Amino acid sequence: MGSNSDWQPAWILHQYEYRDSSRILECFTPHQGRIGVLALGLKRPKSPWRGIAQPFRPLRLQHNQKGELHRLTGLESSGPAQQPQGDALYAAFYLNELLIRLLRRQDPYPELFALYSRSIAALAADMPLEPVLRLFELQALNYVGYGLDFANDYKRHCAVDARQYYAVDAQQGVYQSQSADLLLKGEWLQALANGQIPAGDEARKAVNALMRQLIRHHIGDKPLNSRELLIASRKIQS
Amino acid sequence: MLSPLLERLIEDLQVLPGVGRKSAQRMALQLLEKRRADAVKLSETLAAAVEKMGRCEGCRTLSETPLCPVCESPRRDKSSICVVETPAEMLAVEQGTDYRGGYFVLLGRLSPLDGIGPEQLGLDLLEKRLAAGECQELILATNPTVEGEATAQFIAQMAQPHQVATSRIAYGVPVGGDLDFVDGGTLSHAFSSRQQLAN
Repeated sequence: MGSNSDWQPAWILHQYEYRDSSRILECFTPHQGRIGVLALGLKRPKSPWRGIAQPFRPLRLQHNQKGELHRLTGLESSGPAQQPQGDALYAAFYLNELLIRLLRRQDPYPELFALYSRSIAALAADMPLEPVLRLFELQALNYVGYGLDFANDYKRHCAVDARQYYAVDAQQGVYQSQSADLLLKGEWLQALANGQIPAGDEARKAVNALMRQLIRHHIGDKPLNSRELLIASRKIQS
Repeated sequence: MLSPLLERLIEDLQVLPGVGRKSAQRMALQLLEKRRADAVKLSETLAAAVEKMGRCEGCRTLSETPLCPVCESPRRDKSSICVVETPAEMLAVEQGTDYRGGYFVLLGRLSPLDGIGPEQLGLDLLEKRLAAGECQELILATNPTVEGEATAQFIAQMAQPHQVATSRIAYGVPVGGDLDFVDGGTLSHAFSSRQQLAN
C-alpha cells in the first residue's frame, strides 16, 4: 500500500461506473492535474461520499497511490455547490469535456485549475456565456502550451497592425493576409494577446471560429458532444 | 476439475449483478442438484422473456405487448406523465408513491461526456406525446445528479411550447433521519427548497 497523499483541492470532471458499487472519478487538481481516482463503495447508500461526488462542487480529496492507480481515501466538500442553470450548465459540461480531451493525465497546471474554478463560478453566477467560454479556451490553450503569439506577424517578423487583417496557422501563429477562410482584424488579435476577448458582433463570430479551429487542431476532429448539446438547446428555445 | 458444462453455467451466471464466482457456483449446484424442475422452468421463462420483451411504444419501458400495462390501462390518469431514467426507477415510483398517471422512461440521462444526447433518450417520442395534447402535467423525476438535472432542464425547455405544467421532484432529508448525518449537498438543497407552513 502506498501512503495517503495530502488533502488537495479538486473538481470532479466526470465519473465512470466501476463494478456494482464503485466509480472511477475523473478529477482535476492543481498539482497533479487530471487524475483518475477509484472510489470504492461510492454507490452504496451509506457511503459518506455519495452526496458530494458530483461535478461543479468544490471538493478536497485525499488519495492513496499505488503505481498508476489512485484510490480515494477521503473526500469532503470545500464550499457550496456551484449550480449553473440552463445553457450555463451545458457550457460547464463543455469545460469538463474540453479539459478531458485537452489534458493528459498527471500533467499539473495550477493556473488552469484556478481559471477553471473562476469560470465555473462565473457560469453559476449566470454571467454571459460566450465571453466566459472564449476566455477559458484562450487561456487554457496558453497554459497547456498551445498558445499562439497573437501580437506579432510570424512571417514578416513585425508587430500586428490594428488596421490590417490576418490569417492563422494553428502551429505557427498569425500572418497578414487578404485571402483565407478566416480573417481576423489586427485590433482583435491585440486584444487576444492581452488576454481579452474583443467586443462586437463581427469580432465575436471571428474569435469563436478561431477558437474552434485551434481546439480542433489540438484535440482532433471528433466533435465535442456538450457543444452539440448547447446548440440543440438553443435550437429548441428559438 | 469441473465438468465443462457446469463450468460454463457458473461463468454465465456471473453476468447477474452482485454475483461473483462463489455465488454463481452455489446457484448452479442448487439448480442442478435440488431444483431440476425449477431450473427447466427458469430456462424457459428466460428464453421467452428475452425473445418477447421489447419496449413499450408509449413510455419505452420493458413490455411484451406494443403498449405496456400502465400505458394501456383505462384507469390510469393520462393527463400526467412522470419522466424517469430507468425501468427500475419507474417501479420505485410505482411502489413507493400513490402516483397513478403515465410514465416516460428515458433509459439513460443526458450525459454529453458519455456521448448521450437528446436523440438517444427518445425525446422525440416524448415530444410527440406532449404535442398530442392529452398531457397537462409533466413531472421530472430524473436523479438528483448533475446529469439528471441537465436532463430535467432540457426536457423542461422542450415542454415549454406545449403549455404543460412542468415540475421537478423535490430533494431533501430522508424521512426518519437525523440532520447531522445528512450530507451538506442534500441539506443545502433541502434548505433552498424549503416550504412555508400553512397557519
